Amino acid sequence: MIRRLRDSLRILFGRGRFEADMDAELQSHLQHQVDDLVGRGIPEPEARRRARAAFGALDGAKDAARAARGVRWADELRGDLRYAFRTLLHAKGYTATAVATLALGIGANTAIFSVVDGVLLKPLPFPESHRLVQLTRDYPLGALWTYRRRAQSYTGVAAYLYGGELNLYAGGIAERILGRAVSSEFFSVLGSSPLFGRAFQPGEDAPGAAPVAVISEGLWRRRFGADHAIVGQSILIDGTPRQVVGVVPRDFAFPKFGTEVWVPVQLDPKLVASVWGAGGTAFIARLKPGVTVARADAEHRALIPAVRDAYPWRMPDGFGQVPTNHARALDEVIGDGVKSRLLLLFASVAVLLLIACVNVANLNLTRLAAREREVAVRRALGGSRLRVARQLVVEQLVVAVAGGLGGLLLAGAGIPLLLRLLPPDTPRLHEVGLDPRVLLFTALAILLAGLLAALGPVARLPRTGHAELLGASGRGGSAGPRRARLAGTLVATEVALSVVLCIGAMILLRSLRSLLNVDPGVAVERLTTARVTPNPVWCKDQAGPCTCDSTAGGRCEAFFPALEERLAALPGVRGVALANAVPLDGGWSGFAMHLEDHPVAPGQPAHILGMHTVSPNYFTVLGIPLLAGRAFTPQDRGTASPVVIVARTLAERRWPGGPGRAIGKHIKPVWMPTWATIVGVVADVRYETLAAPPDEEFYMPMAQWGIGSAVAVVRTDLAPAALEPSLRRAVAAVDPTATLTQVRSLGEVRSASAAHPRTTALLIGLFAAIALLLGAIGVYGVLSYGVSQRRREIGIRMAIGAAPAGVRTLVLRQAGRLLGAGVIAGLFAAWLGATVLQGFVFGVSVHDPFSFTAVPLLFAAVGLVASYLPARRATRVSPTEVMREE
Amino acid sequence: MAETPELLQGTLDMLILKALSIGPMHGYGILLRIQHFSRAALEIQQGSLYPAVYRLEHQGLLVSEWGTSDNNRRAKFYTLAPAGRRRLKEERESWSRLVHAISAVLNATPSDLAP
Repeated sequence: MIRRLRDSLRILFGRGRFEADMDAELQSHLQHQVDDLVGRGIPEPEARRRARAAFGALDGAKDAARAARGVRWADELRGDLRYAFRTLLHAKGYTATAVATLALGIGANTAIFSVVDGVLLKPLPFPESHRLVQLTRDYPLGALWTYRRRAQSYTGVAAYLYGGELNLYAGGIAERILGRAVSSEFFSVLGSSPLFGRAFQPGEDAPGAAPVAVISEGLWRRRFGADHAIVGQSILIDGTPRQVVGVVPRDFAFPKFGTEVWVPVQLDPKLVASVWGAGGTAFIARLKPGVTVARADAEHRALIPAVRDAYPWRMPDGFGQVPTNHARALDEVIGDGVKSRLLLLFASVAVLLLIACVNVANLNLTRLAAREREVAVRRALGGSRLRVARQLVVEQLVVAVAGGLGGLLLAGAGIPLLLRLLPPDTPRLHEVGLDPRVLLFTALAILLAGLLAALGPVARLPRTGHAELLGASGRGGSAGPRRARLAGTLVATEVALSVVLCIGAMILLRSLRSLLNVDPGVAVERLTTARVTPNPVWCKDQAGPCTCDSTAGGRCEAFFPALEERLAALPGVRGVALANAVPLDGGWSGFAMHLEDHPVAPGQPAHILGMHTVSPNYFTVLGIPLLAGRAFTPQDRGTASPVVIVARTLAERRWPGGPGRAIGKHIKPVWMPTWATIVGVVADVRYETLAAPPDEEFYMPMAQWGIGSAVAVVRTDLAPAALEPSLRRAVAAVDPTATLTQVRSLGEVRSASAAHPRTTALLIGLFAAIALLLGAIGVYGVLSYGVSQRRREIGIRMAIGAAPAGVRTLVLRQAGRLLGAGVIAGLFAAWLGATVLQGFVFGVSVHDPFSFTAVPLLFAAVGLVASYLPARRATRVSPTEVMREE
Repeated sequence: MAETPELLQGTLDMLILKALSIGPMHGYGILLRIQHFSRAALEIQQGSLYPAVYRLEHQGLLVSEWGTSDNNRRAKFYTLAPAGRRRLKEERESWSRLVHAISAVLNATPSDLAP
């Protein structure tokens, strides 16, 4: 098959060689016969004559030989191609429009597909990546013991912790880098081996193991001068000296792009809080050969009770029975968060390509009218319908290929922009690019576009009566009205598709606006935030909630007040507060709590409340109103009388009848001995995202509750970039090994929290704007065609006294019919299709009445503009000229 | 019946494959071989040889290469490809079935009609 294709290609492009070869071979044949005859004593001239005669017609033989090698189709194809190029160069306006339209459509599709492919479809960059699964994210680290002992489906199970930053202190520079605590199986499960050195060995996550680290090639080059002697050296990570045992290649980027250090987790049964208290550990595993994901999942579900019973305290009976707790293919899980958005984008961009194809088909159809005589001549000269149709298809494919190449250029320029526009937390973005898979997709898009664009015109090739067409002036042909009807249908389709896209875009944009209008509960303006992290080794047992009574935490406790004092003294700073997380940053940590008046029976799920640790002036600096009781004071320290402040939703739900009713009530984490007293009630704040309604949340004073890393919130008139150097100096002055990261205004935090909906709305808005433009071009094209077709009719009407206004009405009425049909069909389709937006909208209905009204009005306005020129041209038809043309 | 019998459709291909099964040969030589084997009973139209050879090459049954012939002339030599050898075997079998069937018909006597 491939050999034959190659043979055909050689014939197509090596035509000259084929002919020369054949000539030489036939000459050689004749020469052999002449030799024979001469050998039998016949004189050479006579021999030559006889040989020629014996061979028969040389040209006939050549023709038959060409046909035998399938050269004829190649000849015809080359003819078609040449003809197509000539025609297209002749019709420059048409060609430019068609190529540009398809370039937009194919380019946009290529760019979006490259993201869809890189993020969702491409296999993960690990050996036999189809065998990788994620078990769950719902368990604490301690569940790994159960899996190591009991799981049968895997060659290995590994765990890695949530939260991916570590402090690196080397050469006098403190830097916060992406890093992970992982179990010892991590690299072997992924099937990755280091560039040099070694990966973790079993037991390196066990109690008492020597502290080690694996670093990335990037960090090795950036901070350690690409010196191979790094293996065996000790580096300071989070204040702990760790021996570097290996360096992994640059392209290893798991679980997150840019991760530079991996350290073993501490699987120490004595560290109850970090092993069992915190959730958010991810478990990944490599399936044994032949084991399916479904079988692994069945085992995973069967092990739920074993994990529950492994806890050092009693867990609710229904532990782990949530619908998200399933073993699934790893690549699927990674794409989860963005899959539906990307598919929505992909669907919209596919609609855009469809619109582009319809637009070109339509342009083509109107152009075919002008070529009616040409086609008729070709038919009359013996061109079969098939042959003429093939010519049209070849021509469209040439247009599509040119458009596709333009599209590739657009995509090449657009993909980097797109990658910058997409939210940075989109997974696998670094794997996106114009690779062979994407190019294959583009080739398919080109083929599809070419065929679709040719479909209409081919279907409407004049069937009969070429003589008739030749006889007529080329305008009265029978194909005319039928073609006009098809052109009308095409434009109506195009308008309908554009309406669907525009309505979708408008709903998303209005949804984005209402999202950004949500009051997050804090005064966002003039606040700069920055994360400050001292070396955790001072703040012992971080995952444990309270370090108030641990002496090891002393230095850590001293760090934050000193920092707060320094920051407050900076010029341009009007107020400073510290907290474990800022609003709208997705930081929500839930704790199992006991609430006074709301006892929980054993075996029942505990109350899970969102917890925040803040410094005393947090509420003042962020502008969070106090509704009852008092705010924290510097005197709220020590363990003697713990205090908390609750947010309004918690107070109202648990102790209804006014915020004051909660004051004096008590709450406590389930594992703590002392109850804390509620001393105040504050207004609700949205911590997770703008879209998520406030949950039950409470605040604890920093001086009573350990904290390892804090966000400093600074009220200032300065821009974050202007403030950053003095912030950095202040942190270094308190402790040179502490790090400062994520310096940004709270406005930027809010903006980042809407990144996904914003990107979706902007991209679909862009596609819709293009669609609107193409729709306008389509309407304009058909109306212009209509006017040129009806010149004679219009001329006669005007000759017998029709007013220009009447003629204009004629054109506008046609425009109205086209638009009306398209808009109504589009409204209908959009109404039915709007449900796909469910889950993407906030604060507006997917059947948003405003959008469903505004878009048709918009199209009416655009339609009027598009029909203005053709209508004016119609009124300029000169009756005398038309008569003279006849 | 004419002195040189008409070739049945498709049999030329089989004859070419057979001629080449002995060894590589150029076009003119193929003609001579067929003539020789048929004891001059079959004469191939020279003009019809090349379309057939080209078709066979396009189908991957033959491979061609330029070389030098016995009388020191440049000539294009054809060699039987493995696929060609298989095809020849198939054609041979179906041909002999056909020949048997046809001679059975031609040699039939009235007694053959009896049950």
